[in-house]
Amino acid sequence: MYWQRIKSSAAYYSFTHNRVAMVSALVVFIICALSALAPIIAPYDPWDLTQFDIMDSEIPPIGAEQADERFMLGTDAMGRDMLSTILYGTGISILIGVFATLLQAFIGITVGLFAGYFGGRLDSFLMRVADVQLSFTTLMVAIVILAVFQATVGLDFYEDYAILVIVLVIGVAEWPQYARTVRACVLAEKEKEYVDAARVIGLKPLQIIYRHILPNTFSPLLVISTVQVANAIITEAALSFLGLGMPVTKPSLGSLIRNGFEFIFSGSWWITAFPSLILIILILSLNLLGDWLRDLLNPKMYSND
Amino acid sequence: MALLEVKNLDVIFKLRTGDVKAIDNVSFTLEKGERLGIVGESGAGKSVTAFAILNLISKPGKITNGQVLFEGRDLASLDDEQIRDIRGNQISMIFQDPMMTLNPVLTIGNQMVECLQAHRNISKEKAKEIAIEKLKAVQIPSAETRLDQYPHELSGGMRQRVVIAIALLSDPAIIIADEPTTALDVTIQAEILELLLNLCKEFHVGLILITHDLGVVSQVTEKIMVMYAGAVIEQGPTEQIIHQPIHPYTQGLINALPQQTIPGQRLNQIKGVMPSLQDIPQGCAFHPRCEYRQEVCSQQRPTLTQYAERLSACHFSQQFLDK
Amino acid sequence: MNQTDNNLVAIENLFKEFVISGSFLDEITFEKGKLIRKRETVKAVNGVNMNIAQGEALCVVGESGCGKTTIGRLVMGLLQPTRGSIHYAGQRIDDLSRDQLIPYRRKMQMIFQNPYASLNPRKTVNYTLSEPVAYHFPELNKSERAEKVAEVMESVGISPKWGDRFPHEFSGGQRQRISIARALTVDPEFIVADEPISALDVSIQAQVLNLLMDAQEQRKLTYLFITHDLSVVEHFGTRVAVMYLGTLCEFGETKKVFSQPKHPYTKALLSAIPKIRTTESKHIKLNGEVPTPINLPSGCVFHGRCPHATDICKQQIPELDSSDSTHRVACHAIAEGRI
Repeated sequence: MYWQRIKSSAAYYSFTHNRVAMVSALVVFIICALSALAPIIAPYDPWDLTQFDIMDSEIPPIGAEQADERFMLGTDAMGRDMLSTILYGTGISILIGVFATLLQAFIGITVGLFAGYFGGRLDSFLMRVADVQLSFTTLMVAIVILAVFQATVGLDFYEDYAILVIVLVIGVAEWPQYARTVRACVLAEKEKEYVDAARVIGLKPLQIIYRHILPNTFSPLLVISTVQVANAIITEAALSFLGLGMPVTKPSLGSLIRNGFEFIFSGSWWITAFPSLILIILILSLNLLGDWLRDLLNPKMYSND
Repeated sequence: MALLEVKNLDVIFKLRTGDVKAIDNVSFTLEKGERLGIVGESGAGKSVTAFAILNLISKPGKITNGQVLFEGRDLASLDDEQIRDIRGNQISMIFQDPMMTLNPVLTIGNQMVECLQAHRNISKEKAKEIAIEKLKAVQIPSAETRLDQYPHELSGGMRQRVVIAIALLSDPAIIIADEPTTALDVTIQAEILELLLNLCKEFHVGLILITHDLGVVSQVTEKIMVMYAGAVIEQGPTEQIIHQPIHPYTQGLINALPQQTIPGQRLNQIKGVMPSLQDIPQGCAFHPRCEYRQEVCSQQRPTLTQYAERLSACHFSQQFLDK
Repeated sequence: MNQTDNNLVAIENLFKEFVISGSFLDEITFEKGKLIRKRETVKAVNGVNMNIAQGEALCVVGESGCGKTTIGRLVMGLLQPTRGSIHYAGQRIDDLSRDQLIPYRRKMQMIFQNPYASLNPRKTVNYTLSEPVAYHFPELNKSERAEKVAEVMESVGISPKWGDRFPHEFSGGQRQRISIARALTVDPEFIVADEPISALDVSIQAQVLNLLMDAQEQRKLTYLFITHDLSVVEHFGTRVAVMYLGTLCEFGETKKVFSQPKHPYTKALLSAIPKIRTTESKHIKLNGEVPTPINLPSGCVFHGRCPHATDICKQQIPELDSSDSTHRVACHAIAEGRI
């Protein structure tokens, strides 16, 4: 029944007739699946210091001279297996991207709904707060907070809670994107007669906002969410590259790139190259998927229904 | 030879759910200075017919069959360059929403001059002169000053007058008006209709008026073509069709008007809804809603048949005519 | 006002202005070296008195911008009046809070113009129809609620089997039926219908009008029917109120207003209906256009377009005359016996 409905929907048709969308969805799915299965499929545990040996350091990937068949993508300076490290690292990057976006969405949607529905002074106030927040770039906010945090609590403590802190920082820094989108949407939906009908029934404002208006803002939210996940992953990578993100002991893609950057001129290109490649492919696929969604949900194309 | 002759026109839209025949075997003629009304509900194919005449059907739609002969030339086979010479020049179009035609960031004068210079090689001064003359023809007060105004400075009725003036600029042979008064108030509607009627008579322009309002067509046109589910179901002189329709759908449309019933009583409604073009029923497309339907109606599709001066696609038209 | 004993709704001296000059900062301008606060308002409704009797269908008719929709929304409490009062069954309702209004929500319902916007596109028909029932009849259990919804759906000609469908799966006429069903689920006694058929196809308009008339008969409903279509008014309305620029110009029994229109505007309006089967068009032309409701004309709002206007019309606002309570008109020319 539900499968039938999906199959006959415009989204399914558009998806199956759009190679770019299908390939990017497949790539995103494969990358997510592999990193989720990392503990099972990875040959080593890169977080376990006992599993690697400094003697194995900087072994090139298979195909190069002096390659070791134990390490398909070679090893880094500490002798960690690159394949396992990348699998785990991708997982961390995606995890941070998704949770930071969820946090942004939660704050942004709440603010946007209230500002848009009630309007007036509340709207002006909330939107000015959003403007102020936007006038600081995400990276600037993150650098300041993370640097202060690391300095005050110490690096050991920081390593334990790094993921949580980064999620918080990126989440708080980018909520205005959501707030603006939702507010614009609410302003448009609020004028529609079904909202008046709900008011005529006597529903409370909160019931109208959550039951009637919120579900109608999902389409644009879906579009910006894909882009925001990609953005959050990039932000995290940038922070890690600057040494403010994930620690080397639990590296994300960004920390891996930074980690290998020192050795790029000594010939050990693979330590940086492979994580970079994965990062680029992941971000590109997410953005292509977002483009497709935007085209699909474009209200102008909708009207033919 | 008729000024415009549409012959067996088919338009098909290729949608993901399959091919849809938006208009099916539509034929009609328009003589010089004649006024034709195309009547039907939304989705009946009225507007598609108008667009097909001007070869404006765009993807996923396509004219798959038939001819549109304008002064003997088949418009359906012309290329973009050639059709542009006819469109807006010899055949003009007026839309429901004047803002669809008017550019909000250009003054009325600029738009009219531009329009004239696109089709004719004349000076700006001469073009302005013609523009003022046409604005006067549509009874716009103080036409000279209007040239410097922007569309948003005019009221809805005035805008529609400007659109009509633009349509008249190149002294067209035919004006196609797609629901020209639907967005307007009753009093303004009455004025615009009267204006259109007088202009057509005065300049001997052919008019194709597309509308859902039988009251409007009956006041302006000489001929009516009623469409249902993409096909013509009745066609003939306005007088005859309004007074004695011989297709049950036309009868239903007329009888459903509140004017046709004693105040306070139930209206004579047609039951059901027009089928979507994707699942037009077997036999007569109207039979599931028809109160006179017989066995034959669900099996055999009635052809458009001549009854004296008019055409009707119903198995029982002769009986309605004899009544 | 007479007929007070069976008045369901009474509207007294109602005004509504919309501020269009924006927020406080937008209103401040600098003129001739002085800081001035300029406030621009649209005067949508200007001193309307109207009463709706129990069981009648009162039609409010006028052209776009005449304030007819605003009146409907004011009565429903979707807007707050600037001045004046609205009474429902003797109780003043225009100054009640949302919570205090809840008992009235069950008695007063509304049907909207655009069937494509009045149903939430993300909710099934069942959800849309059972929400008001669950809200106003919390004592009903799930199956009783479903039964009530099914019963209402049946009565508007929508098969209860279609309850799981979404609005986009229905045609415009069917959606309008669902919208009517939503208003009927709470068993109201009074319904404001704001142009309920103007967005529908001709053959569907008759169906929906019949449905509204049947509902009125079966449920003893009172209607405030807002429309621009005079032929519908003649058919549907017990009484008719003709509005122009936010004021009432003629108010009376439909039969009287249609057979002997008095006000010059009503006459022009009636003559403009495109009638079939009458080839001759004798419509009365009005001069000029409707003035903007931002700067209302002084005196009678219609004087600029009226063929009978004199000095008094430019200076003094005419009142609805009360000599014949079944057919009242606000016009100096008529009061003075000039027409």
